[in-house]
Amino acid sequence: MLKAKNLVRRGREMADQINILGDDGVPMSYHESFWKSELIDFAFLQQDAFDAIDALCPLERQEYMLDLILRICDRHFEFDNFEQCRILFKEMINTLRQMNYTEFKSPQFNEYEQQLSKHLA
Amino acid sequence: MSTHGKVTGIVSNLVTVTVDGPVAENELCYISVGGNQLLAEVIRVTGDKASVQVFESTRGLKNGDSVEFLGKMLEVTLGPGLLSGIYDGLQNNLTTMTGVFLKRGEYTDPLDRKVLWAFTPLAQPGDKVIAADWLGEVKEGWLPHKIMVPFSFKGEFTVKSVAPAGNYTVDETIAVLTDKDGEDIPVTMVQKWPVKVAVKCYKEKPRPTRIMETGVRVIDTFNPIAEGGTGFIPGPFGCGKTVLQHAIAKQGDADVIVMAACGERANEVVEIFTEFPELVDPHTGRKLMERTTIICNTSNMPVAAREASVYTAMTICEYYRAMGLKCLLLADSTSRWAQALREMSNRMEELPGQDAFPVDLSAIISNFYARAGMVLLNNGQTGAVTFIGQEGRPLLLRPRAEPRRPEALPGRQPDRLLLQIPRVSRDPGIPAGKDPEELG
Repeated sequence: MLKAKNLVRRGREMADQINILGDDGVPMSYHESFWKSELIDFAFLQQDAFDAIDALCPLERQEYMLDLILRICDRHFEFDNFEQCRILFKEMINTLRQMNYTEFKSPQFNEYEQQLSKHLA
Repeated sequence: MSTHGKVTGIVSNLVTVTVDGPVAENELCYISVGGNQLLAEVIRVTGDKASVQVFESTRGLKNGDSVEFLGKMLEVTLGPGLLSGIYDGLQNNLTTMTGVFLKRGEYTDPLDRKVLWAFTPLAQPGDKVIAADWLGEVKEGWLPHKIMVPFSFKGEFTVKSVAPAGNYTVDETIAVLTDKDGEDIPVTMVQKWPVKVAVKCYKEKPRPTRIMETGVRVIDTFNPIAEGGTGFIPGPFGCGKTVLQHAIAKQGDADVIVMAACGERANEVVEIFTEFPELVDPHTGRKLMERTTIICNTSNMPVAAREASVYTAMTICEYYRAMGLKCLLLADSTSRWAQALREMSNRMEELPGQDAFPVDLSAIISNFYARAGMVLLNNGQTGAVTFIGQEGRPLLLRPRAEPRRPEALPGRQPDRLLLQIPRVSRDPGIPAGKDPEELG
């Protein structure tokens, strides 16, 4: 939990740097940190109160999802440019959000997890 | 003989009464006006003058009107049938009232006295019991509602007889207790308790240890609240405090939910009334309303009853806690309660504190928060009251904290939750939770 909080804080610092220096003015690691914080924000912190499944997230599921998200955040990615970084993280955010809307450990849920696993290899 | 008095001064709902006998602070009285009896509470006594706050509109009241003091504090009626009820701050059952608007001086019974409850005895003749011990139980919805030795009973009693299993109304005697002097005392399913006095009929109040699951990720994982803990949700107007609180009410892992709509806009309260009966409890699959009690005192109701509404809600929670149940009290909002306190404080011309709020405001709020908690009952079981308040003026109302000392915020302590909703979330383009740095 503390690790996720620190990642979010670090991502915010990176966002400030990117805003000041521009997308091209910062190292790629800054973009990576920023998008990792966005991943936590969109896929974990935000919750859809109007969706029957996402509205109630039991503790077991929270633990599972946070673990999965932190595994992604622990991984170091190699990108040629920041555009590539953005596209990959947006794709992962989308998959994680779809997981949030799906019954826990259902075939569909597992399928989304499978899609993510290629990024974790 | 009860004390009487005459009205000698009126400032809105603060009335000065010259009395002919002893009166006590927080004592109730009836003021007679135009055939109505207006309920009021003594909030200050100076010599033979008592200042009373009237829980109703004082229109038509004049000097010389008679006042009768009741010799008791504001009490709530506790018994089976409270769940799924909708009450005002003085525990009048709003569903049994007639007409579109509440009539002045109309008071209704909070419990249905005709309903038969299937009683099962738990105590045996000869058992030694003390206050809050369980004598039997009835099924209230799906919850086991324990019939207890009234909280007001002092000392040890012997059970002389307990009614056999069967159907009884709340007013029928279900047990006879004998006190140490040999006097028999009949006990029914109903008891009364003054709202401003904390129920302390338990063995001890240990620190909470279990997490209360809300199903909201940002709370459970990042800012968990303990079962029996306290929390508050500060944030600017219209930022989503109420929405979050409703989400917690719908999904919180609690046996009993009490919602105190204290000084809220009527349309928000109507939303609760219409929405909650339709909702299904995700934990049990039953109607959410079966485990919910709503205490409502909207912003257009008299301010004095606002204060009563939060105390009434807390007392009901304490009652269910004594049955070994997990209760969740949601107060929306404590800042409007503080506004009511400010109004009365100003009318009494007390020395003002910050922003003209009473100087002892933080003490009042802290004392109220202290009534929540997990308790170990006399029979070894546990019960809990988790309290979550919300405040539009967070800097004023943080219990035991000062604005310039963030380390003293309740959220920094293990059993306390602070979930500050940032101002940016008011921007429709930025969803709530966008500013996670602010989340504790």
